[in-house]
Amino acid sequence: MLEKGKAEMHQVKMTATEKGDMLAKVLAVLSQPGNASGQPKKIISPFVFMGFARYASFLSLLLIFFGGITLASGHSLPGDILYPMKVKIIEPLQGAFKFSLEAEVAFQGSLATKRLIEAEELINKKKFDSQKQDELGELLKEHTGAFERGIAELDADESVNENVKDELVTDFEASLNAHSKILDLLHSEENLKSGNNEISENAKASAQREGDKLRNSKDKKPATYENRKDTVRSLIEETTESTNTDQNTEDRDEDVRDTIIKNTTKENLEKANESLREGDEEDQKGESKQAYIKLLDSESSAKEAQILLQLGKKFKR
Amino acid sequence: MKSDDVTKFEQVYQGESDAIFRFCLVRVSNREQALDITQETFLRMWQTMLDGKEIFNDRAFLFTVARRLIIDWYRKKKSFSLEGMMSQDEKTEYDPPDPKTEDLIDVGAEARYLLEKIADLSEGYREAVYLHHVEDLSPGEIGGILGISANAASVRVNRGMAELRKIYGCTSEGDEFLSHK
Repeated sequence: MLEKGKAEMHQVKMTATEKGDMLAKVLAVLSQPGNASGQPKKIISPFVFMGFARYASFLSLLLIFFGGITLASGHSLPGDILYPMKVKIIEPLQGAFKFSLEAEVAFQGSLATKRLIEAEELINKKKFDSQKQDELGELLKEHTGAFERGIAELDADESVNENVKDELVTDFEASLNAHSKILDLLHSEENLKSGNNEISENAKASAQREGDKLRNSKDKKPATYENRKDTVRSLIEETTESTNTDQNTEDRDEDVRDTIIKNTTKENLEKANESLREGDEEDQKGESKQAYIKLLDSESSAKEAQILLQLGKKFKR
Repeated sequence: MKSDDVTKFEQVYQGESDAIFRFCLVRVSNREQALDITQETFLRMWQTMLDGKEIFNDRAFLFTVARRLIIDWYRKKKSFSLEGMMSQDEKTEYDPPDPKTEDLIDVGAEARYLLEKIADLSEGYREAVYLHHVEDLSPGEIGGILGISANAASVRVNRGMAELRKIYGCTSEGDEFLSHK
């Protein structure tokens, strides 16, 4: 039982998006101007402002006031009083503190995902209507547009690490596709009459566009191909293991929603395995470009499966 | 910047980031804060690699940095609170895992029970047992992280694990768990 507790503890992980964003941010430190020599740029610790004890009481008051509003608005949804403040002031302000293009692009990708999560929550709370769909749709277009423009800028910059860009795009693809699938599922469950689910359609289209652009830009596999393949293989194994563990421990009275999410997760894992296999075959044939494209397909599907697995737990009724 | 460095860093990141995040989350009980500390930990590793300094044991290095950042975070948190400003008592260097942690981390019943029982251990054993049992670190690595000798770490691990097994209802290492219900 001690071992079982340990195995369950090992299920505590960052999400693929969190993991990818963090790696991109850390690696981005090197890509900043002035760092070409390899000299690290001084990083401001998030705790630095807390050292000024004499300003503590003044800062406390400010923090209590603004922190409270920020925190409260952070969980707000379209239709809430604080939502405009969240999307018009707080998030742009957070974006202004992203000091590299990679971090800014990752941030826009995370905002696009956030809009999809908000749509999921609204449907789940039965508060979704066409007005909120339009509002979220507009915001989603802004974020995906900013993401796409950012990736185009990264493309033009030869000093940017190729792996970072690939990570950003596969994270974006996986996250948008996974949340779109959940959104479609919730949408159909609720029999919503607000026409086609435009939000998920736009999200899927943006993911597809960026994915295609990335794959078309490849002409050969990179030096880190084997490492990347190992990472993808581990991700597939871990997610498969978690899926199987969940299946063994969960009760038998799962509903249709659970079953659909689980099946979609499995389909993605199968797709990830198949793409990995096909990539190996292409590699053996000497088709280095195709091998890498298949690896990217596999990575994207595996990440999507991991997100779906987490979402399955979240939306368990 | 060499591409070898990037590759090595990515390998370490992929292998260890979840363990470091878990270690932080269990202690700070706040996902966002745990992510911040994990990121800062890897940034410190990046800088160390760029400085050309050799890291002999990546895992031990990362856990040591994360642990120090968590201690700093607790100190700053205390000094920032009204209670901290009023109190002159500076003896608390490292808070035990927050008893409310298990409610905030999405884990199964067995993991929640394990966390509760590790929190119930004597203060000196908690971290050693967590690092050994949950993260599979060796006594030598744990000694490096806690700033004690490998022998002292081994003693803490053995005594702590014995205490944990006792709590779990096992009488020896190989014994089956009897019941915790």
